[in-house]
Amino acid sequence: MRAGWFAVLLAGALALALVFLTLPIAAIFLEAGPGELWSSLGEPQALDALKLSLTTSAIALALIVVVGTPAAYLLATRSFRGRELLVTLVELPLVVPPAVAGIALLAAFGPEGLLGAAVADAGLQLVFTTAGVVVALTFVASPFYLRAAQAAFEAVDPSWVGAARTLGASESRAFVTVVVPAALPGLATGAALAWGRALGEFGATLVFAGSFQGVTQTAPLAIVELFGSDFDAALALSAVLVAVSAALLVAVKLVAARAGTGLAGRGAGDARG
Amino acid sequence: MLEAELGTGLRDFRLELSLAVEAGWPLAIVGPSGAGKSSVLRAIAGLAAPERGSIRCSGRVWLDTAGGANLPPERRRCGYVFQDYALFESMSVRGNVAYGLGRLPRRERGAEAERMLDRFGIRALADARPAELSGGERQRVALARALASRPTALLLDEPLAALDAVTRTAAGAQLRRIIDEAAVPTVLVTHDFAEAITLVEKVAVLEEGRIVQRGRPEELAAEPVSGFVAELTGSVVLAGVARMRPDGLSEVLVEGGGVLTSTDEAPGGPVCAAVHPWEIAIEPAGSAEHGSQRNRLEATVRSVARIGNRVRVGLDTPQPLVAEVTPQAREQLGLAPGVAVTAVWKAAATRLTPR
Repeated sequence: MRAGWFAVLLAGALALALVFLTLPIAAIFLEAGPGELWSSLGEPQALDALKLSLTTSAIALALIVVVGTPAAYLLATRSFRGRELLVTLVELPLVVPPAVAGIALLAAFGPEGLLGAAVADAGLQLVFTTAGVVVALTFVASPFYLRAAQAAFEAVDPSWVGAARTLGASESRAFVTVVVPAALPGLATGAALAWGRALGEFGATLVFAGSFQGVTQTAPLAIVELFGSDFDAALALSAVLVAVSAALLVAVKLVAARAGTGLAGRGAGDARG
Repeated sequence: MLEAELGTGLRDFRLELSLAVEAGWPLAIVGPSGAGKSSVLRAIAGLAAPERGSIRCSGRVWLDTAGGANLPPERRRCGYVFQDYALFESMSVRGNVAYGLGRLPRRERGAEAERMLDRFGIRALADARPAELSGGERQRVALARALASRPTALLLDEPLAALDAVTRTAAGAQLRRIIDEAAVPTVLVTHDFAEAITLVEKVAVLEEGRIVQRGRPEELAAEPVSGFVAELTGSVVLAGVARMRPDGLSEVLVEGGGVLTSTDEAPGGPVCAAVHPWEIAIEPAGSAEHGSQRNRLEATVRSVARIGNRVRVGLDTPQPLVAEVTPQAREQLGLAPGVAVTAVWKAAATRLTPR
């Protein structure tokens, strides 16, 4: 019996994609030996960059989740005039090139920018500071969370909220006890996507906050700078960044799978009913 | 006592109705899907705000648009059983039942939840997730959850629709007992008149946002005010034009051909002639005339289906008919699709309503 040419085509396409996507990543680890990796990590520049990346991206993620969760819930559950426009505006940073995002942030919050005076009056210094890094990361990463959170909230059966309300729960209690647990897998996915985007952020940070070691030089910025002088160090830092990102991805998949077991069994329950 | 008077715009028509429901006399609102049934329940529960109206329950004002009063759903506390039950999938059965026990001191909630689990026979399922339950079990959890919070009124949206035919009969009997025990004003909505009959003694028929007839189920079946109500109660409805005959009977020219007589008085003009399927007998085609007060329509058998101890026969006349006959009649007449027959029923069994 002849194997169908279509099946061969599908398998071939997948094999090609797999090799192309995983080979470069694998190469990082193959090129950088464990010994070199460890010693390069001892270098202050790499260590500073890694610490800065983790702290700024964590702060940015916290801001995104705290503000983005209620904002996404509103977009998902209320219909009002101009809602579609609002959704599009919120998604805009997704398609804006990172360097343009940096310029835009300068135009808005830079010393000469639209709100420059107000930012200075508030005693804030954003340009070339760690706070500026957080602003840049928040700007580029927010849409990833907002989109995922909105989709997750839209998928929650509105009658659940109705049921909770008739059972004596206020709107906010229904949100916390019923809606958020149901949307959790989607929210976690969105948070991971946003975090991943923040960890990898390069262009906007460089333009808006610069690249000063220990202050605004995040891991991706350090990798590019090291690349000119010390390829091994760049390789080692890249390997760490890959490991952190991969760990993030796996953690999210596990959380989503665990939270999803209750929902995955739903079809079986319906079949019995 | 639950009294509601509502007016609000829905997508295609306005909902305008008033109703009063006493504890012990549950009301079924019956109508096709899209008639606005669920909107009525949502307005009563406070989940949707009607444009105008007033709702009062046990002396408390829930809504009074003129006076500016509008209690949120958590302060009305209706026991609401949603059509798909709306169980919280992220909680266990026990968690669902205990959700509405916020009015109790914290240490009493556990015992009360257990009591409700026992009462509804779902103790063994207490730690299961809703996704693991059968349809009948989900319905019992939904009822236990709604009643655990000691609601002031009970609202049921198509409470049996999600169940299969086997479960439905038992669940219906149980639901009726539960409604009686709850002893609070109860409104249920359903598209199925037969289901309403098994659950309540008061029915209101909702058509495009308005109640077109209220009464006991048998009153509606016997004297429908319109072809719509007749069809809803399970009658076969034929459209035609009526005129009075000198002998006091009404004569209906059926659209597409055929003449019927009815003992009902008709004003003349377009009417619906309604007859219950079990009033229609089937005779061989072209059989002799028995009398002028019998209606006879030539027909071709379209379908034959046995339901329990009856046989439901679909008939093609100019307008489709359904007759219910005994299995013996099916044998004798050799009823099968394509066979030519005559459908026969009494003029006295023919209800006329203006169209």
